[in-house]
Amino acid sequence: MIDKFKTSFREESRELLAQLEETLLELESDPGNPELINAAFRAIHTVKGSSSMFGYEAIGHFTHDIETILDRCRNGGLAVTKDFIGMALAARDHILALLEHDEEPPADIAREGGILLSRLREFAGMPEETAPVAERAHPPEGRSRETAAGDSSADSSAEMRTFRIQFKPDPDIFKNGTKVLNLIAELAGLGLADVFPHVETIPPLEAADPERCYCRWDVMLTTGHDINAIRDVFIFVEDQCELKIEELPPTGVAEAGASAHRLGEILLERGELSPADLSEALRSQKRLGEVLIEKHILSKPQVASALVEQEHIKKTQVPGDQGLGSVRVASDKLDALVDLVGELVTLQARLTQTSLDIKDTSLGSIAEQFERLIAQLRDNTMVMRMLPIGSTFNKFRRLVRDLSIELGKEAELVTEGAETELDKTVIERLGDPLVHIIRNSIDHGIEAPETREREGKPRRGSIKLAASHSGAYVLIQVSDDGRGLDRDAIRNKGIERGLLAPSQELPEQELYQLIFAPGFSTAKAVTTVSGRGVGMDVVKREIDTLGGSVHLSTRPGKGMTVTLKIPLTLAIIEGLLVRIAKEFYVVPLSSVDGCIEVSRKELVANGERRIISYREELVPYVPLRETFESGGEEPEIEQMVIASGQDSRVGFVVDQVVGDYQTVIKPLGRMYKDIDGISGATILGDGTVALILDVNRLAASARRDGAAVRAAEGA
Amino acid sequence: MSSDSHPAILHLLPTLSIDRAAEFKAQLVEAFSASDDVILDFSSVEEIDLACLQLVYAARSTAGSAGKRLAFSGMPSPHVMARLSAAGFLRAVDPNEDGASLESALIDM
Repeated sequence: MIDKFKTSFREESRELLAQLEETLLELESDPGNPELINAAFRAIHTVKGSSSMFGYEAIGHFTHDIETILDRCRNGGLAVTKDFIGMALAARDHILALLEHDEEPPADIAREGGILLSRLREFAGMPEETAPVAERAHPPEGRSRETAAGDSSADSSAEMRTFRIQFKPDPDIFKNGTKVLNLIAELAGLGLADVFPHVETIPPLEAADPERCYCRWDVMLTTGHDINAIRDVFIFVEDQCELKIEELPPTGVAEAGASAHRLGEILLERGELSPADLSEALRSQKRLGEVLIEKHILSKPQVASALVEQEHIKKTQVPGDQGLGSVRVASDKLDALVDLVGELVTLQARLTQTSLDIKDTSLGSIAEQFERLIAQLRDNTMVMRMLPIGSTFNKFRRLVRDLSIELGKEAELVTEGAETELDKTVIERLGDPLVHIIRNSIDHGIEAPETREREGKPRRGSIKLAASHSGAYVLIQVSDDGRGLDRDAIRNKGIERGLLAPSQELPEQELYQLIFAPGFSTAKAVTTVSGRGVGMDVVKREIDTLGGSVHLSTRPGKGMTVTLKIPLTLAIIEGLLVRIAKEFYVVPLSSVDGCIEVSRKELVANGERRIISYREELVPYVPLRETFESGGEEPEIEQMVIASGQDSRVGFVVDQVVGDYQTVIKPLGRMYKDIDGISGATILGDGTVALILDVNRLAASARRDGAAVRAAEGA
Repeated sequence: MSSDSHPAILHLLPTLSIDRAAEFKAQLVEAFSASDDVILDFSSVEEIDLACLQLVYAARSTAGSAGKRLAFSGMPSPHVMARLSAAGFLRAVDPNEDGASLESALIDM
């Protein structure tokens, strides 16, 4: 049980530390912002509190001092400098390292922590500790605690609480000049408020005493302030009103969606309804509120007010990704779920196939319904795995900061589209390629500050990381405003490496693609900066395995843009099933442009010049029978599937287009994973295997072959 | 005094506060006795407190039970609207919207 809590503590701490990193980076560019200092303080404060609770003593001790130092920044006693941010970031990394160790951290990590702390203490002008940090039994009770208590509003704003406030002014409250409306406005100003005035008690004109107060209020308030702040509003009317303030229990994970905030329970809690009346009213099929009013158990305003409370709780319960009302699930459980859905999709295909084979209409209709349900289940499961890409963006801000310091450059990262969602596996696998691209931009693209100034650019280079949706794909663009790609240098290097003949002219895009060739990176590119010593070929390979593509564009002297086009998911795709002889293949539906019929004669007449006119464009085509040596006889009328590759279209000549097919992607074994033209496999309804075509590679090779044929013809 | 079919229009003062509440009540009572159709013109109102607001509700209640009509015309100052909204007296309608009136925005009894 404890382990479960510890896992949860670690996960939450990692999230907090990720936030802290982001906050510190923002603080670096906006050092005077008190909100940011407060946010950093709160993050550390929370980590400190929960680490002690779960027995992470080392973290507790370490964070205690960091907290004290941040507190000094908060009170203006310490200036936030670049050095300080550097140390704070290192401290954050250290806490992350400590999190990996349940018990005492290894000696080297502990030593590092000690060094870090003494640097920080020196910076903050705090006395050096006599005892080593790790051996200290109890953290000294310092001023941080007093400050925390004294500054309750800032500290408590970390946590939002919801209060139910019932305010009934005395009838003669007007007599001493109290402005009741002002009180309510002041109260509502404390946070997110839903105010419900009870006006039903106001008598008709003739009976109304103009100097008597008839109204009362129910207020639901969600605020970062504590209960004292609420009492303060009413401090001068304490003895002239009935005031009831209740804090509602936090609507955490356990209670989310549960019955805690049903109308009946709210009314019971308010003491306006008896349990007997409630169960009586619940027996009717009508809405509870209506029944209670009809039976005169409650008045209309009483129900209306309770409904306002219910609405308020709903409203405050869903603050986006704050985690309220959501459940944390281990990612391997989700993976297992996706696998199961994949199996179901395959099984459903078999069911449909069987119903067709035995020509049973009732089974067919069951299969159809089953198919619809499975499609919904698949979509829901896929959505669960979608994460906003912004979570990875943050780590790149740190990368840009650290790299530019190390390389003596000035660069800032601008991000856009952080909310763009894609499959978590894809996000995980995008990390490394993006690191390489960004590293490349800072290392090769962004010039030294002096050079930039000479060229009339701002000293500080800019790297923009943007994500957006485009159909079944996500486009991720990394652009910089550096020197751009040097066409001639790439060409020379390509010739030197034997990647192209000195006389050969390549289209621009293909020339740029050379930088992704293995070993193309200049020695300078393999800096110690990344510590990986790998070049851009890794980017290309990883994006290829993700089923995506890389596109480069550049303007000399102005910068370059790398565009990654990545499929939304890797697990299940919509495909177009085609047949050649007895073999089946899948073309990803997202790249299919259309299907046309071609006669055998026409193809024979084309000979080796495999080009066909499609929508006024000459498209090279690939006879898949030949490519995959499928054997069998070609039919008189063949089908051609036109698909869009990365830069161009390609046609696939097949015997038959079977139709669309939900394709559960199965990876090919290690033996087959490098086969050109195939990106994966799937299992069909009858249990046979269909291969999934790699449209990009097939298109590129068709283009190459076409060029070679044309060159031979020209010669 | 018999009721008239002409509407009685009551132009409200800029400041409707407790010290004018008794006077306001008297005006309302008089307007209802003069006509079956009373219109309260809020266009000059820049300040209203709870005592006077209660009287507006009381007038509504009287109109309702006596089968008379009470209508509002003109919008009070934005400050008044903001105050009424903060104290929960206005429905969630945008008071700046065309066609919005205090009459439609003020919550029922």
